[in-house]
Amino acid sequence: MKTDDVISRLAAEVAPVRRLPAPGVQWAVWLGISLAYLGAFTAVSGVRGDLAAVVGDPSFIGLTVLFTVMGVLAGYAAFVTSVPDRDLPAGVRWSLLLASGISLGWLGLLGGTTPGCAPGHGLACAVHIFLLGILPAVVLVVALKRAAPANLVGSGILIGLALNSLGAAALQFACDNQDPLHLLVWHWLPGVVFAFAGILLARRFLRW
Amino acid sequence: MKASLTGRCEDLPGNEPYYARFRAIVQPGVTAAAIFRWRSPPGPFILFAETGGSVTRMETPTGDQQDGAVWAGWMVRAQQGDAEAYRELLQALLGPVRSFIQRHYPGIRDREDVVQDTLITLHRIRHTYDPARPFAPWLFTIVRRRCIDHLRRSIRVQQRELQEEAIVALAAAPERDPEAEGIEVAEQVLASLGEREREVIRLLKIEDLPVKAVAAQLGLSESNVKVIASRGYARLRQQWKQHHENR
Repeated sequence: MKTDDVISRLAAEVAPVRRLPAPGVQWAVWLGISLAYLGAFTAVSGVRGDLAAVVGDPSFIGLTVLFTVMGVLAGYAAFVTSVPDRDLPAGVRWSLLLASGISLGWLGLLGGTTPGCAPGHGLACAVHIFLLGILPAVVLVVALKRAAPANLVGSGILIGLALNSLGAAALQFACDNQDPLHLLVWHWLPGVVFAFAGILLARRFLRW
Repeated sequence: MKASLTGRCEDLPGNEPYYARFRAIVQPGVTAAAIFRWRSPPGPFILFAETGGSVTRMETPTGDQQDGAVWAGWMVRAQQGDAEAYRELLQALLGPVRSFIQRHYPGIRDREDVVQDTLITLHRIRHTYDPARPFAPWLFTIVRRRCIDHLRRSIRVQQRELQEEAIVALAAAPERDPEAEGIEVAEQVLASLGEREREVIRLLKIEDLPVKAVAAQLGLSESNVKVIASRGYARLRQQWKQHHENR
């Protein structure tokens, strides 16, 4: 087919389109849905018995904030980079790397001195994180499918990171094991697995 | 003065048909006017300000900015379903897209395929263009994406073609019986040995006689039989290796 014919065909097919909302707007909607779901899930599945005691604990607050920041920023970064000409602002990129690095370093340093936990309990935490994070991740994929992310690997990693970080942040209110090694292996590291899964998912569903 | 002013656009009477004039009142008593080429390639346009009876030529955007501003205007109208503006846009983009591909991806042979692919992609994701942002980076990210996809696809096709060629060559080669071929080669290699070496090896390996019996039969000492056999094996190995290297 000649290029002029392609142009004629496309011009004949053109119809009004609804413009993609700004990344910030999409992110706010996504965050609202995600927080509502995480809150409802945690309320239904129950909170840890010692919540009142640990809620003032600096390590509990610090880790919860770090996981939340990672999840929220990963979602924002995914929306920003879902439009062809958009680059991730350096501030967001560095904040994301910093939050991930601090949480990993913190848990890694402390985790070497503690006994960890039984694999069965840890696996249950990873599954719990998956169940908590899956809805935000699915909503993210559906929203990104309407856009056109140029870097599918990057988008996949961000989806996996958002899933794990939001799930882990919410799980802080349900899992009463504050052992750093447990948190590192079963709350933080599943993010690596989810990131790989996210890459596969992005390559499968977000190609444009 | 920015090029993104909105106002009435009209053909210039008595001028070439692809020139148009743009007018907008920017503040009481001041009218901004732009004259630009309407057909592809878009631009350049010149911006004037008219105050009372005097006309002042104003600072104008660079060529790329002008192009981008015109393309952006067409795209906004295309997003609203204006087929004519969309056609103008796609026609105007052909040149820049072709030269971008030629400049950045000279290895692409089917350039026109990539151009068409880019136009189709642009059509499919035209809702992702935000008029508040420049048009050109959005467009060329799409072009780059399509070029990379095209190159990857070409490499995959080339690899598949090479595999298919190898399979076809294998299938076309005359069928050989490996066992018969092995015997033939063994005979050739054995024939290259000296008579005594061949006889020693035949008695030792085919007749399966002990060294003592072979020595008695050939009238040689046992150590002599071993030396002859060893020399023969070495020559056999060498001949066999040469044969396989020459295949």
